[in-house]
Parts: sequence; C-alpha cells; structure tokens
Amino acid sequence: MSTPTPNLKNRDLKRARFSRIFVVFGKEFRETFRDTRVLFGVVISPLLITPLLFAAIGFFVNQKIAEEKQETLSVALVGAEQTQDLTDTLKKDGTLKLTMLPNLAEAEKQVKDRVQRAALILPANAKTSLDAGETLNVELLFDQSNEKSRNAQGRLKEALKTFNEATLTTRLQARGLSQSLIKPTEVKSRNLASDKATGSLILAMLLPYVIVLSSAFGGMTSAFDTCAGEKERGTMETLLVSPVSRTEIILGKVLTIASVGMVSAVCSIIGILIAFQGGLRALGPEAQGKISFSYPAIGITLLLVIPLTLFVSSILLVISSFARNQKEAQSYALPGIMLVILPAMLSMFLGEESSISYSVVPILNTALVIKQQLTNVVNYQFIGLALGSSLLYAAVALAVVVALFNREEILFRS
Amino acid sequence: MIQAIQLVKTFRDRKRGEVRAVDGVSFECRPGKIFGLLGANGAGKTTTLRMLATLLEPTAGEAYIDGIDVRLEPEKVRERIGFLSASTALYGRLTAREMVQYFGRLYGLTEDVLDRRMKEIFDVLEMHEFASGRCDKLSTGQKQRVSIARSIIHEPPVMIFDEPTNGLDVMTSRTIMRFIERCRKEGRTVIFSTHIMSEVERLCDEIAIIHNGTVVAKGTVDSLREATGLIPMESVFLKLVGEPE
Repeated sequence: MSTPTPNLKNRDLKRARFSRIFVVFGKEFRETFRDTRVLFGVVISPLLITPLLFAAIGFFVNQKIAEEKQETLSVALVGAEQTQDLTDTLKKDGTLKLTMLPNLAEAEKQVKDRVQRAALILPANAKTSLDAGETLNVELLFDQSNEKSRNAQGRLKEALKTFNEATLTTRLQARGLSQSLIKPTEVKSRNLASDKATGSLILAMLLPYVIVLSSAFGGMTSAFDTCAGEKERGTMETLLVSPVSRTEIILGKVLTIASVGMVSAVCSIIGILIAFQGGLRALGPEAQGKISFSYPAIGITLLLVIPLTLFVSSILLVISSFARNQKEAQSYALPGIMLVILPAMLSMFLGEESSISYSVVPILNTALVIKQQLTNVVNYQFIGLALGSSLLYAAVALAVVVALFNREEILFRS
Repeated sequence: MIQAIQLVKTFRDRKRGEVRAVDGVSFECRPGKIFGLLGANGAGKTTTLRMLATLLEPTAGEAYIDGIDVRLEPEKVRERIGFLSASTALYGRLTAREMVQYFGRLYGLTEDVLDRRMKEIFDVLEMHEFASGRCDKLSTGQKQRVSIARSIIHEPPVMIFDEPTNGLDVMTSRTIMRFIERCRKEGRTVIFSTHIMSEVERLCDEIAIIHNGTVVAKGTVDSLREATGLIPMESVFLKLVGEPE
C-alpha cells in the first residue's frame, strides 16, 4: 500500500454537490433494482401479473356471458289454455323450455325447488280480458337469490314485451289507428364523441388512480430499505463517515425513491393498457383500451407527477428516517397509506370538470389533472393551481426530511 | 494528528434525563503512532470516536483533525479520516468492487485515480478473487477486507478504529490487527478503541483509560504498569478504574 497523501490534490477531488448527489442516486438506484421485492412490485407485477389477471377476468366474463346466452332455461306457464298467442310467443323463444302447469301452488313449488327457473301466472279471465282489449294483470314468479332465475325472469319479460307489441299492433289495426297515435315522439341519439373518447371512459376513470398510486407507492419498499434498512444493517454509519453531507445523501435518496415511483407509474400504465387491449373486451366499448393521450397531455401529466412523487417520497423518507427499522417504518406508514389512497379513489368518482377548489388538494389535484388530460378537458387555471400547490407541498416535505436527516438524535435513534 | 480538548457529549434520555456520555475528555494522537482508548462497555469510547469522525456534534469542547475543527468543517474532516468499526457494514446488494468504487466516488476521486487505488488495495488485500461477488455472499473475513479497502480508498492521513475486532473470529481479527500496524508503518495517525487487553499490549504506543466518560489515566503501557505497580494489563486497568480485582 502506498504512503498516505494527506492533502489530496485538487484535481483528484470533485467537490460539486450535484455530482455527489448523483453518485448517491446512482448507487441507490442500482441497488434498489437488485432488490427482488422492488423488481417484483415495480416491474414484474404491473407488466406481467396485472395483464394476466385482467386477461383471466376477461376470459371468464366472456365465457360466462356466452354460456348464459346459449343456456336453455326452464319456465312454466299457468293458464296457457287462455291465450294461444302468448303461448306461441314463449314457444318461439329458443332459449326457453316451456312447461304448462295446472295451478299457482304447483308453479310456486317448482320455482322454489328450482325445477322451473320462473313462471308466468295468467288469471282465469285472461282470454276475456285480452279479447276485450283490456290490460291483463300477469304475475311473474322468480327467485331473486338465484342467478338463473333472475335471467329467466328477464327473458320472460322480453317475451312479454314482444307479445305486447304484437297485440298492440293488432288492436290498433282493428280500430283503424296508426302507431304514431301512441308514439308522439321517436328519439334517435347521436353520439358526437369520437370512438377514442368513448373507448377511454373506463381508462379515464382508472388510469389517474393507477398513475397516482403507483407513482406514490412504487418507491415505498425502497424508501424503507434505504433509510430504516440502512440503520438496521449498519450501513448508515458507513455512509455518514464519508465526506458527502447529510443533505446530499437525503437528496440522492429522495431522487431515487421518486425515480422508482416514476418507473412504477410507467410500468403500471403499460400493464393496464396491455390488459385493456387483451382481456376486457367483454365489458363493452367503454373498455376497449382505445385512448387519446396527446403529447402535451403526456407532458402535463409528467409535470404534475414529478412533484407528487417528490412529495410522497419525502414523506416516506421522513417515516423511514424516524423509524429504527423497516418493520417500524411499515407500521408508521399504514395510516399514511390511507391518506393517499382516499383522495386517489375520490378522483374516480369526481368528474373531470370538478370545482377549482380541488386543484389545491394534494394527490387529488394530480389525479384530476390526469383525468382532464384523458378526456380532452383543458383548464389551465386548474392545472396552474394544481402544479403550484403540488410544488409547494413537495418543497415543504423535502425541507422537513432534510431537516430531520440532519438531526443526529434521529439518525442514531436506537 | 488528532487533538481532543475537553470534549463533552450529553444526551437526553426519557428515563434517565440528561446523560453525560463523555465528560471533558482530552488527548492527542500523533502521526505514525497508535493511540488506544481503553474502556469498558458504555465508558464513552464510541461516543468520543463518533465526535472525532463528525458523526456526532460535541456538546462542549473542541476537536481537531490535522488542525481542522470537527465542528466548523465536518466535511473536510471526513475527507481526511478513515473510519472502521464492527458496525460499519457493507451494502449487501453491491459487489465488493462496486462498494469500494462507490466510496471512492463519494470521496471525489477521479475514475483513473480510483482505478489505480483499487488495483493497489485489491493486490495488497488479495481481494481480486471475490471482487465481483456480492457483499452479502462474502465470508466474514472477505467482508472485513472490503471494509478495510473502503476505509482506506482515499488514503486518509488519520484512521479511526472503533472496536474493529468485536465479534470477529481469530483469523479475521488478525487481518485487522495487521492492517492497523500497517497504517502506523505508513505514517498515519491511528486511534483505536477496545476493551481487549491483548490488543492494547500488541498495538498501542500510548493509551488513555476512559471510565464513566472521563479519562482516568494516560500514558504508555509501560508507564501505566509502573504507576500501578502491576504487570497484567487487566489488573492495571481494574486498578485505574477503581474496580476490585
């Protein structure tokens, strides 16, 4: 080993604060992604597990819908002899297996025993009533607690609707009246939204929530590992005896956690989009995964997500700095997690044109701006207030964590 | 060169109120010498060394490393010290090479200087064989060698060892002892805390016995033996701290 050089030459020393912050960041980032817990939670789970899960849900929902459509359901009719027309209508429906029953008691018993899924009870005067052009009171028996019975009820109602329309036409014709007499208006709705906008309905509701949660909590494992974990393992002391200042250390760590949060958000977005493309066609046009996200919209979303990740990362590091070990940090974080989840969830139910006062509510403001971007709502006042307040919250949280990390009773708390 | 002048450190404890962990400790360590801080557990050795390493701020008193005030320029002080203790652990998910590289960069070494220093140190400590292995997969002895490399990468003129052999086996302890002797040979100022008498006898040119936060005796091993009239260091120590044998 060579002799010591007490005064390291200036050219050998890079004293720039930023370079040290980035040295800490580089090491933390590399180490974080070697942690299998982080790799699984931030990359593998959203990119692989989420799409697979959604694909499985989509597959089973599709299968169930197809099965339900094809399945023949047994239904009963009491008083069939009263009206041949209704009996014929029911017989025409290939998805119904019609059985004639003699009385109400037998029909009730068979529906309860699930021999028949539903039953139509015609009154004794049905024929007279129909012939006289009156309204016939029909009773429909079904079992609300049974899914197939509910389906049979639906099919019987549909069949009755067909019967009603046919009977109405016959009655009007017999009297020489036109259909327009009973239909003063006919509504034809025309949707002006593009296919993309319609297609993004569920995504617009879900994505802000996913982006906010994943960017906020993607770095949670790393936050607890990088501070409380370092105390626990004894590496904190090793780091603190190097010339890097405590402020530089904590800034490097905040940057790491925020970056992991961003990676997590990106992976979650990709995962959700893959899931929507692949597995959720059964949920209708609203879930077809077509989405309109312009470059300015991406830019605005990023602009809002950065202070959000810095804000939450700083809070997570406050908890992590204060805790003696990772377990303690997790316990402290539990109530905080709810404080982030609640406003993020609220964004799912609030419209994109919400009150301006929401623009200063942390977390919710970011989620709502993302929602606006997804639904092509432009509200610069809302964006400006949301960005300004988010930056302020991030700055305050950052100042708190820097101050806390500089306190030796916190760092050497045991 | 290390100078500690009337160093005091108090802590606030919920149960015990204000605790004076270090209470007016003074000593001086010179280059090319090993200075031992000898004391029982809780005597104040670690707190004193942590103040010298700028991990803790003194409540009162002064300390200088190569003439630099630990309170006024802590970052400058840390550039000039190497710190090794049983509790300065390694980053498990980094390789041995990455670990040393990381600290070299924190010390501001340029890449070419860092590469040269790493090659020299890895040669001397025979680390090439496991340099690419993750720290959490290394044996205790290999880990200790990585710690040594980490503490010396910036060629510090002052080395601080806080009970560095605590909990280590004989072979690993021997590696540390040889490293401390090498530091002396290279002209570094070495301060070394321990409660193991054999380590004191083998290594220390001068010692300070610390008890309840204060220095109760100072001198060479021989001068303390002479002063107490006792030969075994254990007996010398017990007499000086006022404990019956």
